Amino acid sequence: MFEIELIISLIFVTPLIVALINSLFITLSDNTNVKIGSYLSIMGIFISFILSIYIFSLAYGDDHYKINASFEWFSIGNLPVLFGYYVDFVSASMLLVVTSVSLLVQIYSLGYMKGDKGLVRYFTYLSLFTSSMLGVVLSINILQMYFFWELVGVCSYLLIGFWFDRNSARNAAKKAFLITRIGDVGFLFAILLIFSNGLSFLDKGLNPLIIQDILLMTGDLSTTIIFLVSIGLIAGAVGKSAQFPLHTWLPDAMEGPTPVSALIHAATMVAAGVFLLVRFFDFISASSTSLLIIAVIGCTTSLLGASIALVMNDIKKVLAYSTISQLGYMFMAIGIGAPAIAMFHLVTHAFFKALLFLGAGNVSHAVHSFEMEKMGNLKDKMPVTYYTFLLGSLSLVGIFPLAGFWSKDEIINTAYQGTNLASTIVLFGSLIGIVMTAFYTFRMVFLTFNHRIQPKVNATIEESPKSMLFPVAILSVLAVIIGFLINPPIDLPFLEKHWFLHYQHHKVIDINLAIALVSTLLAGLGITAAWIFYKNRNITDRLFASINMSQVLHKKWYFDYLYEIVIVKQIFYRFITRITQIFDDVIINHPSDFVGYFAKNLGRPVSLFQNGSVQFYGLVLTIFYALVVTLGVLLLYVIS
Amino acid sequence: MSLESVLTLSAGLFAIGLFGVLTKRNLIAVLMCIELMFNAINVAAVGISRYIAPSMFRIAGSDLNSEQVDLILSGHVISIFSIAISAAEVSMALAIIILIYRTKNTVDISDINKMSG
Amino acid sequence: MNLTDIFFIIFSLIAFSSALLVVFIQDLFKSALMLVVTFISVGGIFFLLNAEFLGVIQILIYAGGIAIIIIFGVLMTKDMATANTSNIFMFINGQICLLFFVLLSYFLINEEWFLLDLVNSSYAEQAKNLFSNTTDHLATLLLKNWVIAFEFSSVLLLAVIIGSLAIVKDKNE
Repeated sequence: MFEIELIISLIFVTPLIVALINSLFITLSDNTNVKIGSYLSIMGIFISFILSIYIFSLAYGDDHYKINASFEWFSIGNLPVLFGYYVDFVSASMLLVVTSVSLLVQIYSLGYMKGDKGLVRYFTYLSLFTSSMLGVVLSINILQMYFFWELVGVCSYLLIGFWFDRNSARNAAKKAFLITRIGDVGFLFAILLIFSNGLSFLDKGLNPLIIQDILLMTGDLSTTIIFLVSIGLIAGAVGKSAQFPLHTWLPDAMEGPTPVSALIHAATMVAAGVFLLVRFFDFISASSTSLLIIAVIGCTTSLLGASIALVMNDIKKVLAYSTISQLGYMFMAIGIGAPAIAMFHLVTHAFFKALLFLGAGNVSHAVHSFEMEKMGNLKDKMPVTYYTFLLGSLSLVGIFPLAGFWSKDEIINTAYQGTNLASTIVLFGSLIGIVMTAFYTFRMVFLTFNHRIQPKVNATIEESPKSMLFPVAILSVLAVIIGFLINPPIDLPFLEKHWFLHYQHHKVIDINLAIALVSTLLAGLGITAAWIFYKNRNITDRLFASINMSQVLHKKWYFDYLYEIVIVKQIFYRFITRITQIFDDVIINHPSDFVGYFAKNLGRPVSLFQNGSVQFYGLVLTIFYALVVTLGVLLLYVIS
Repeated sequence: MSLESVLTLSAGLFAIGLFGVLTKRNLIAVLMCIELMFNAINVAAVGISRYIAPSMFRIAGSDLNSEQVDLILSGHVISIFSIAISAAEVSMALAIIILIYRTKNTVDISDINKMSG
Repeated sequence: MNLTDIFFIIFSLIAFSSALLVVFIQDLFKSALMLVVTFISVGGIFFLLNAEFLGVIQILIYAGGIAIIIIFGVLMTKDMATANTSNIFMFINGQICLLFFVLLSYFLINEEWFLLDLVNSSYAEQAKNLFSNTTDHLATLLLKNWVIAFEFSSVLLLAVIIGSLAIVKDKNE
């Protein structure tokens, strides 16, 4: 038992220690230690990865695998606040996803970030980022989870603003930090609400801060409380997972280095929101309204992100909106009551999206730009990148036997079998989303790699170094097989029927051939459309220019305009700050001014007493002496 | 003639002296009024010594020796010291007044207001 | 009303009126003379209070020494006849001092003092003996109980002599 505890602690602690060593020692020394710092970081995450595999192998196939340990962090009254970990199969899968993607991204970074001055700082942040995400995954306590949740936010801030000498990077980092903070207020609100309402459960042996205990006390809480807490949790998840209406930070987060984008989008940051909802699914599902809200948010985000991705010219922006859209799919899955499928999609998405980002990194490494205007005809010059990227794209679109197909198909299938309003919304939303996904994905592929399109800039373009190709290759293999591994359609000797099968009492869904066919056809429709439009560069540009809708999409549905100009500048600056200004004036300024005014005007007549005339001093002295004596004697009379 | 009348006399003299100290513009007149106040205090001390029993008389009651009875005259002793001190004070004050007169060529208090804030 | 009371009233009236004159006479020299009158009448009151020794030194030191010193000082003043003027606070000061006097005498009179009993107490005989000859007893007291303070007062007087000479001495000489 001790060994397991040690191993689980090591998974979390190793990257943390590496980050500490890096930040305390290596960054202080000169550039010769850059290699030590980066290799140390990779070593740390590699250890975590190996241990995660071990934990996963223990948990694999065991539905009731639960292991937890904790110590008392501090206590509030008689309520102990525990610090520890809770591992079940979902956590174990998340551990595997986080560490593997993080490991590959770090190896990739060796090549991609070569020669950067802040390399050790970069690896330190990456280690800390991974460590805090592992902390979120492992947390036994909701307060501890919130702590790591915020730490993830801080690390994303540091990494997005990694090139802090760029103005846009600074702004993007601030934006990401502040917008996720809006959601985190909801999370905090939920924690406080649970805390205040759950204290009475202490007698029954339930700690209102421990996640599993919160799930147990769900039945005894009133529906209003459950709904309010769920809304708070959803707000937190929406902020972290970049869902509508807090999605605007994610595309701007592309200002960070590309491997960081891969990490944020695949494993560490945006997955945290989905993971939170999956963790609390038993709680949230007690209120059907909140599930509907999740479904609607997911559907809206999915279509919104996909529609903007249709017209973006920056390859990373396309991928960013694609992430938003795919996260919408996960939310939809949760909304129709299938958190297991959300986890399934989370895992598959993690691999193929990391693959796509790293591929985009390869491309930009060669072209020195993210603008698809400057790309084209890269197929021959970068064959490895091309084929891996193509695999990732097909997986994203959901073509048969690739990873994305399985997870997406399950979402649609479950929605099809469902009877409530949420299922209907999700069914149509996801089907429309498939067409759009296929279109923007292959628009991106064609614009970047198609040999008929000549790049506008003709630099010497070479394939990336091996350290960058290796992770890409591994990820492409995973992107192909992971869906199959998780939910094999046929019985295989060593594989479970479905990884997440028993989680949350999710029933087995056999492949519905009709649904699979429809989705594949829709995807094919999107790909064909993209092929027709983007054989040549110029046709579609003219086509889209003639449609006003395109302008709306280019402006990202005016959300940035809405938030920055309308909400921040007009409503916040003009209205809310006016109120706070009045508050400042009336409650803060006036009393403090009055104190000064009072003292000043008290001092003024008092200063008249100091006029230099000795006899006047004597007079004042006499008056006060007489007063004091009189009062004293009167007091004596009163007392006696 | 009683304690009250003596004390009233003393209070009157003291009040007059105080008035003079606070009112007179001439430093020497102020000095004279200070002497008046000293005299008032002396009168009070001697009067109290004549009429009021020391506190130990209240406690000890009947058996008092002659040395303890002598303590009735403590007021006189205080007066003697006060006279000595007032003599010292007058000579000092006059010396200071002469110095002020030399430097400022005036003995008017209104002209001596260097302590103005 | 016996002879002591009559003398007391006379001396008190003289002391009061001359003190008032000290304050209110315009002529500084005359007010200094009035001060001497006040000192002498206070000395008389000392005699009435069985303090013969004090009465004597009151007349010797105050009426003699201090008054003479003050008159020396007065001689420095230029317009002696109108020198003893009052400042602008005179009326306020008058009221305040009157109030002060009223309050002070009110409290002094209303206080319940613990008086000497010279008629039927255990120490009555000794006290009468004391008051019949205060000078002897005062000398004993001063040179026995208070001798240290007495010596210090002599040091003080010496210091004052030296100090006032040092202050007055012209630095240019």
